Amino acid sequence: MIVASPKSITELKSIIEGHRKVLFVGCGTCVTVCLAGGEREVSISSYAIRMARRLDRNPVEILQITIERQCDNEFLKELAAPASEAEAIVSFGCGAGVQAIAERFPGKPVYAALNTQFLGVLEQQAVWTEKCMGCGDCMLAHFGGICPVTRCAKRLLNGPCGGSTETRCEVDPDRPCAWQLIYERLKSIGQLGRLEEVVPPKDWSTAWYGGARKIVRREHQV
Amino acid sequence: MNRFGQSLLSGRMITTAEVLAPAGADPAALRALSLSVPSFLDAVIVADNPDRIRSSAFSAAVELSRRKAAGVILSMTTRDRNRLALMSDALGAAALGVEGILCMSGRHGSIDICPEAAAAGDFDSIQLVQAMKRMVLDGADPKSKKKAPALNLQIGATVHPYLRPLQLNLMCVRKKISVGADFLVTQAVFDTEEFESWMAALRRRGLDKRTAIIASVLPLSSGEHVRALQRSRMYGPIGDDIVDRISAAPDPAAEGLSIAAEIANILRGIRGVRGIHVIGGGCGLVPPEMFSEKAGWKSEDRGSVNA
Repeated sequence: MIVASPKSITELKSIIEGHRKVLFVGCGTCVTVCLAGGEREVSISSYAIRMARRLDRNPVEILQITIERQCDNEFLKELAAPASEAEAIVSFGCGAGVQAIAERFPGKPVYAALNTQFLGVLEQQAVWTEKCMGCGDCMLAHFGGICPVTRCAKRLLNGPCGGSTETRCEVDPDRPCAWQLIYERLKSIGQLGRLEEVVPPKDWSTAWYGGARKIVRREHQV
Repeated sequence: MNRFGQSLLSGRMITTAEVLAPAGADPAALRALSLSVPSFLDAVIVADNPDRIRSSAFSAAVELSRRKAAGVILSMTTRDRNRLALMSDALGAAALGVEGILCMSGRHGSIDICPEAAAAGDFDSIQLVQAMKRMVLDGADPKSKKKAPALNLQIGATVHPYLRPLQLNLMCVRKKISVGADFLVTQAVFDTEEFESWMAALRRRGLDKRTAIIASVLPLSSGEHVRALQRSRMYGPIGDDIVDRISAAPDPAAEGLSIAAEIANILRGIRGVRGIHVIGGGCGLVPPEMFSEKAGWKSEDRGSVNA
């Protein structure tokens, strides 16, 4: 899923400082699951911002709604009525959700309440870790299902760097070295021979470097 | 073949030293650095922003090449340059007299260097060695139909004697050799026993015969310096005996030179070691006293490699 984290109340308050009636929009999908932008978080943030603005003697009216998915035009229709009442919209969706709402409401300021972080998994309660950077050309088959493009801090495709130890990455003592994980994994699935293959330079043209990407699958178009 | 290439093939123990380009843009500092290179060195290896933003390694390497005091090896990290910049810098360096490229991934930028910077990470160091070797063998422009002249560059990589598990370590060494590394420079060695066991593993597989292993030493300058390195584990284990010696010495820097010279003497005696590289430890160039008899440096040791 897409993992995000909330901006601070101080930052969010400063972003909407000039508005007196604002619509806060939660998203019911990824950011609800990662406890950053669902109905509950919208409610808590609304309360905190209202309180802070009241203390500043600059009250703000906040409308709240949480829709199923902000990245799907179908669900954005629900925003038409409340959006028409508000001066501005604050999206508690990921970066895609924020931009989808901005496109849908061209005359309305739309702001992000979250910092969108990564594609990841729930590792343990309230701990998420990054697993995929969406490079557009998945190489997981080479590496026993552990992605060095995302999980090696130097994106090394042919083995660990000199800073690797058996327990951790050079960059972060809390993070295991991806290459030690790949080694253990390939050993456990009987594919250590893959380590001897020289992996050629990655073709990054499928990744973001050519600009924002687009997928058209004609077989699904009507 | 250039001088450094001839040194690698000479069969004698070679000596190289690290050069750090000045942090500023003072032309006098760069000139002074180039004039301070001892003439007996086989080569200097110019580091590529290993600790902070410095004047470019490329420019320092070219200035040093002009002085012709020693062969010049340019370090290039895959951290700061994508393939376009790496390849074009190598071509320019070869044209201006640089004799070799040391390919490395580089210390991660987030570790006290420039945490805000985006890393290139286009190639990794093994891919860089491979690309450089292809350029050396096939000429500058592999897409051109006309055969371009081959480049006169020795291509090296770094290896890490203390990386474990050993099987993973040896895989990295094998890959670097298989893509054509002419020489391999190790991390600074402090634990010579562990180094010897790593070299023995290389010898058993005949890897020491397929490339030139150059072992590094690093003169420690103070108790603070050694404790910081011990904590960072950047160069593998550093024994408490070394920490105690530096800390108790009346002149810690002189003691650091002596320890480095002692380690160099041990390394020269290990079968398969083809040279010693002296890391500057933050200096532009290691102080000339490093190579003095007072420090215990065997400068006359130009005999054949203990193969």
